Amino acid sequence: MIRTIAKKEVVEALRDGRFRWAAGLVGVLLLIALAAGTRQFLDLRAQHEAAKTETRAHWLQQGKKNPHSAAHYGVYAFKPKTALSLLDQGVDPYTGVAAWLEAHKQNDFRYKPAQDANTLARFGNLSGAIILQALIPLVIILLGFSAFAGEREQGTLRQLLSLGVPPTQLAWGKALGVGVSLAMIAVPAALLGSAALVFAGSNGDYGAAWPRFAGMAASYVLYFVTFIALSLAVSAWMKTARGALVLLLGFWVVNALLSPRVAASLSQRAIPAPGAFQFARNIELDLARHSDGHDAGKHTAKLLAGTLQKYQVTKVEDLPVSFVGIRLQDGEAQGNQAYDARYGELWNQYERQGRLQEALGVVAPFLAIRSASMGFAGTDFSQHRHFAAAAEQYRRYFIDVINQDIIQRAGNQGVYLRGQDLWSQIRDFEYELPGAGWVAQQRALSLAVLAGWTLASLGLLLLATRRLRLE
Amino acid sequence: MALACLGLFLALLLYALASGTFQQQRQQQTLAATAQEETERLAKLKAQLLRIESGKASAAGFLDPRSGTAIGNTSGVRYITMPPAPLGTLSVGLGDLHPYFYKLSLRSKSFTLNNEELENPLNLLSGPFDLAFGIVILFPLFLIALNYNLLSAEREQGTLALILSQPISLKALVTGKVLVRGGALVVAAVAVTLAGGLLFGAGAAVFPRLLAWTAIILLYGLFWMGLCVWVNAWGRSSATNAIALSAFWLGFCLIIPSALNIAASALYPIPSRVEMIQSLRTAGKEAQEQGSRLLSRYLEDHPEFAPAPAPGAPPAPAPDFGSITYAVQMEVDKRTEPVLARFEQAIAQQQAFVDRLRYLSPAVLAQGALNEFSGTGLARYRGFQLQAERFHRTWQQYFFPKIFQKAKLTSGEIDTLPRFRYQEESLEAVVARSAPLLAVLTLLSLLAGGLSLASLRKFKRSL
Repeated sequence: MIRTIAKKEVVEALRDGRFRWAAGLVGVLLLIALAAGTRQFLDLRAQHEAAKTETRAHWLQQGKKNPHSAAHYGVYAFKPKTALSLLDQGVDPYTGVAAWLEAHKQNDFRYKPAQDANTLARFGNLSGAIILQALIPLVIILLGFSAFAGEREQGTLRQLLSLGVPPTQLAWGKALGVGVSLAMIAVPAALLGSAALVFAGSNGDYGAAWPRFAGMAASYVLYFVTFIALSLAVSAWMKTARGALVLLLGFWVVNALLSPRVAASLSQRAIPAPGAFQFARNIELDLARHSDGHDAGKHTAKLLAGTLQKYQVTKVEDLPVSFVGIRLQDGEAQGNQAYDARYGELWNQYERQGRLQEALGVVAPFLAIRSASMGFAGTDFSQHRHFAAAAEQYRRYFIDVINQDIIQRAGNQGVYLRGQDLWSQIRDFEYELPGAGWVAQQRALSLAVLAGWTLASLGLLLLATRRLRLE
Repeated sequence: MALACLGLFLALLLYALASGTFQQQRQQQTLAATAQEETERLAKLKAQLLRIESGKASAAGFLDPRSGTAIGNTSGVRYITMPPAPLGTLSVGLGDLHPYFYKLSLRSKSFTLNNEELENPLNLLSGPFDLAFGIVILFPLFLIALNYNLLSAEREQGTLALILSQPISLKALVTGKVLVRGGALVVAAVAVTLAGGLLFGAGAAVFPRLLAWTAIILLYGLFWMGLCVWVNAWGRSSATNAIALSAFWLGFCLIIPSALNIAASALYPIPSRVEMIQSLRTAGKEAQEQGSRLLSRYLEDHPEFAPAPAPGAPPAPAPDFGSITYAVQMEVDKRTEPVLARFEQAIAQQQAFVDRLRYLSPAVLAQGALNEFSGTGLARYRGFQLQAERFHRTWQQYFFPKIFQKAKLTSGEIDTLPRFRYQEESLEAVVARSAPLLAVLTLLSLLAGGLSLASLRKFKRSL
C-alpha cells in the first residue's frame, strides 16, 4: 500500500512541470556550486601549500642574525582549507587567512577573503551549503504542500479514506514519495559531492575524513526529513493547498532568511564582545599593568636583582646566563598571560554567541543545520579557534627555543649572531584537524536540536494524519 | 490577514532600525574612544617633553622620548578616522567589513593601513539585519504575500464576475487593490526610513539622502507591485501565482546575484592574499638586507636630511638604527607598490564586471543605491582608504627628515603634528554614481507597470 501511494506521488511529481523546473534548476545550481567550490578549494590549497613551503624557506634562509631579530622576523601560519570546505565554506571568508607569528605578540588572523570580494558576494554566495540548507527545503515544500490539501480540494482524499486506506499508511506513502522524488536530486548530488571529495583529497589530504562526510550527510538527512514531515503535516492540516503553501513559504522565510540575521543581532546584544580598538586597548593596559604599572625600569631592576641573587653574583657581566634573554623570556611570560586572558575571553564570547544561535535552532532548524554542516566541514568558528590556538602554541614554542638559546649562549657582552643551525632546530609548524568525534561533541547542541526537530515534525505528521480519520 | 502582514512588516522594520542604530552607536563609541585615547596620550607626551625641556626629567633610555622615532611611531601617533556614514543607521552596507579608522605608524603602508574590525565571523556570515535588508529583501516578500492572489482569489471564490458586473473597470479594480495593499507597505517603509534618518542621521545634510531613499522605496515597490499584477493576469491559480512570484523573488534576490558573483570570480580571479603576504615579505627581506646602503642612497638623494656634522668632527657619522629602519620602510613601500597595485587592480576589475551586470537585478540595484545614499557603499570606503594612504605618506614625510637629522621634537611641536581631516564626498558625487542605478530602476518599474497594464487588457479579453 505504502509503495503504491509513494509510486503515485513520484509519478505525479515527475509529471508536474513546476517540480521538473525546480528540480532541474536546483540540480544545475548544485553542479555549478560544486564545480566552483572544487576549483576554489584546489586553488586555495595549492596556494596554501606553496606559502607554507615558502614561509619555512624564508625562515631557514634568513641568514646570520641575532636570534631575537629572527623571532621578530617570525613565520606566518596559514590556515589550511579542509576538503569539505568545497561544500560548505562556513565562516572561512570572514576569518583571516594568515597570522603572523612573531616575538612578544599574538597577532590576529588578517586578510578576510570577504573584504576583497565584490559587492555582490554578501548578496548571494550560492555555495553547496546554501543550496542544501535553503533551496532544497523549497523544493520539498513544492513537492509536499498539496499532498493532502490538493487531494482534499479535488475530493479524492474523502474517496481514499472511504476505501479504507489507513491514514498513517497514506502519510508514510506520501512521505516516501516525496523522499524518493527528492532523492532524484539528492543522490546524484551526494555522489558528485563524494567524487569531488575523492578528487580533491587525492593529493595530500586535509581531513577529507569520511567520518566527517558521514556526519554531514546524516545531519542533512535529518534536516530534509524534518521538512518533508512538516510539509505533509501542514498539507494534512490546512483546508486548502493555497493555505498550506503560504504557511510553508512563511516558515521558509523565517527559517532561512530571517533567522540567521535576527539570531546574529540578538546574540551581539545578549553577549557583547569588544571591537578591535577596545580589544587592543585592553591588552595594552594589561601589559602595562603586568610590568609594574608604566614603570618598566622598576620591573627590570627587580628582575635583575632576582637573577643576580639566584646565581650568587653581583654584576651582570658575571652572570653565567644572558640577562637580555631572561628579560625577553620574562616579557613573553607576561605577554602570554595577557593574551591568554584577553583572547580567551573574546573567543569564549564568540563561542557563547554561537551557542545561543545554535539554541535558537529550536525556532529555526536552519541555524542548527548551518552550524552542524560547517562543523563537519571544518569551517566553523570552533575550528578556527582550534587552529589559532595551535598556531599560538607553535609561536610560544619557537620563541621559547630562541630565548633559551639566547639565555644559555648569548652571554652579556658583544654581538650575538646565529645562523641556519639554530633556525633548523626549530621544527616546522604542522597542524592536525580534529576528528569527527570532536566536532560531534562541539556541535552536540545543534545535532540534538536537529534530532528534536525530526522527531517533533514526524509527531506532528502523525497527529495531522490522525485528524484526517475524523473527517 | 493583511493587517497582520502590515503589522509584522512594521515590527521587522523597527527591529531593523534598532539593530542598525546599535551598530552605528558601536562605531561612534569606538571613534570617541580613539579621540580620547589620542588626546590623553598627546597631553601626557607634551607634559613629559616639558619636564625634559625644563630639566626636571632625563631623556636617557633606550629611545629618546623627543626623537621622531618615539613620537612618530608610538607616543605621538594620531588616528586616521572616518566619521560614521550619514545614514549608517539605515544601512550597514560594507561598514561591517571595511575599516573606518587606522592608528598611524611610521612603518610601511601595508603594515600600518591594515586594521580590521573585530567581529564574530559567524555574525558577519549572517549579515546585518538593517533597514536596507528590510527593504531590499523583505519588502518584496510582503508585497507578494499581500498581492499574489489579487485576481485569482476573487476568481476562485467566484466573486470576480460579480465585481466586474458592477460599473468598475478591471484596471481600476486591480490598480485600486494593489495600490491600497502595496501602498500601506510603502508608507510603512518610508515612515520608518524617515523616522530613522531624522532621529539618528547626521542632521540636515541627510534630507536629500532621505529623499533618495524614499524614491528608491517607491520605485522598487512599484516594480514588485507591477510584477504581482502581471503574474495575476496570467489567470492561473493562487498557488501557482505564489510559486511564480516566489521564483521571481528568489531569482532577483539570490540566484542572479550569486550567478554574477560566481561568474565574476571565475572570469576575474583575485590573486591570493597568501601569495601577496609572501611577496611583501620577500620585498621586506631584500630591503632589510640592504638597510644601510638604502639609507646612504636616500641621503645622497636628500643631502639636506643628513645629520649635520658637529663642528670639527668627521663628516659622516654612522647611521643609527632608527634611520636604517625607516629607510628600509620606505624601500618596502616602494617595492611592494606593484604587488599591492596588482591586487587592487584585480579587485577593481572584478568589481567593474559586477557593476556592468548588476542591472539584471532590481534588488541589487536598490541595495547599491541605498548603500550609496547611506554613505556605506564601496566608493566611500575606497575614498577613505586613499585619503588614509595620502595622510600616511604625509606623516612619514613629516617624521623621516627629523629622524635622519636626529632632530629632537619640542613640546610646542606636539600641538602642531599633522592632523588627518576626512574630506566627506560631495552629494554630487553620490548622485552621479547612483544616477544610472536610479535610471535603470525607474525603467524597470515602468516596464513592470506597463507590462501589468497590458496583460490586464489581455486578461479581460480572455474572460
